[in-house]
Amino acid sequence: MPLGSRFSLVLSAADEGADWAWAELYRDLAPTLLRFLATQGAAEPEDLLAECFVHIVRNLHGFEGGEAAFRAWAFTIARSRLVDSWRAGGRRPVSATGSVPETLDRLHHHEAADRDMLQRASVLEVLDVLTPDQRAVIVLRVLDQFSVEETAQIIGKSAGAVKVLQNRAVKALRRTLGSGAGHDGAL
Amino acid sequence: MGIDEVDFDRLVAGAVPTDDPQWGKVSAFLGDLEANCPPSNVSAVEEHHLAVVAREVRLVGTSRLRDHRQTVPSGVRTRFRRALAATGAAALFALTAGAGVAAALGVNPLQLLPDLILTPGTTPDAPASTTGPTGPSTADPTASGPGTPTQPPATVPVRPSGTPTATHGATGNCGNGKGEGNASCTNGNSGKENPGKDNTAKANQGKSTSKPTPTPKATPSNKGKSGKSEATPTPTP
Repeated sequence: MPLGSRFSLVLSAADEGADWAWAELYRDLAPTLLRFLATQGAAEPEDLLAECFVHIVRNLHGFEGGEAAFRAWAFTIARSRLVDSWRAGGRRPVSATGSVPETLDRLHHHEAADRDMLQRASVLEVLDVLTPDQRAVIVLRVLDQFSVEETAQIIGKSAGAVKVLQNRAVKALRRTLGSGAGHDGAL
Repeated sequence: MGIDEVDFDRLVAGAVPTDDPQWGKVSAFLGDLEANCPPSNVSAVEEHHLAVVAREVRLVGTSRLRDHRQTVPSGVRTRFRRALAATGAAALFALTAGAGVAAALGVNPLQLLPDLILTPGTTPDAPASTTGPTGPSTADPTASGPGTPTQPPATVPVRPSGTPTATHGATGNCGNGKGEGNASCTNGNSGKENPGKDNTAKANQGKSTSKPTPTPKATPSNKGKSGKSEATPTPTP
């Protein structure tokens, strides 16, 4: 939940070292940051989340801007930590564990109690057919409601590149969801 | 058609082209993405993460405080060093200038040092008996003059670079120019009208022994002729 009018007060207090302010910032940002890291295929998203906040603490003194800019900055840090983890691990994000039609079939034939977990898993598996940049654009634009410019800042590309990525992403989703023929792999 | 020109925002909003049902699936997927993938639950790691954040906040605060403290004293130290350097340079300049003036007047500046150190501000009323600031012990015996005992330069007035009265130099107008007792206004005793001081003579004496070049006046007759000593370095007999 955004802090709204309280953001300036909370940010100032956090800059001065107030624990309560940092707790508020954490509760505001951590859930969406963790979701972003998980959907991007991070091997250990919780550890990366902690690294993100450490980086935020160290560099908060140099930050200037409102709440929207702060969120974009936090996601930029998360994206940087994610790329570093990929490079350190010498690999790219996790790939889909099964074909999309099988995933969708499981979604419709299991108990409701498991449905939420399956729904999330199925969503992640569908997103796995996208390239890392396409996936990032879809998640940032659809789930986190960032603008094209903010998304470009986060992933380190131009606004035009972001538009190209999102168009290609939706085409890939169309092929995957439309065909339903186990079309795995990046598009 | 519009496949290549699909408006992403319209697609996410559910406004899909009706000519292609597959876009409907994409629109539905994107529309349900938020519901199917809500924000993650961080309750399991929140306490640990907040502890990490708190520790980092302390470290950052300590680091900033240390950096601030280091910048302040360094500025003070820098100014102090500059002032010290400037003072030292000024003192060295004054000393050099004084030595130069003394040398120009035919006085060995080294022989003036004891007087300068030992007699700060004393009045120059000592009689000619004083050997002056030039180190009587080294004075040429012939230059000592008539029974002028070597006395410590304590009586030589020392007035640090203040008054230019000892302009002995060429004018020899030290004091009244009479030469008597004016020897005290010796070269090198910067700024003193020292009537009755035989310093010039003594200075000359000293000089004659210590330096081949300058000076002269080792003879008593040189009293008062302080101004000339520098100009005409005559060897002492």
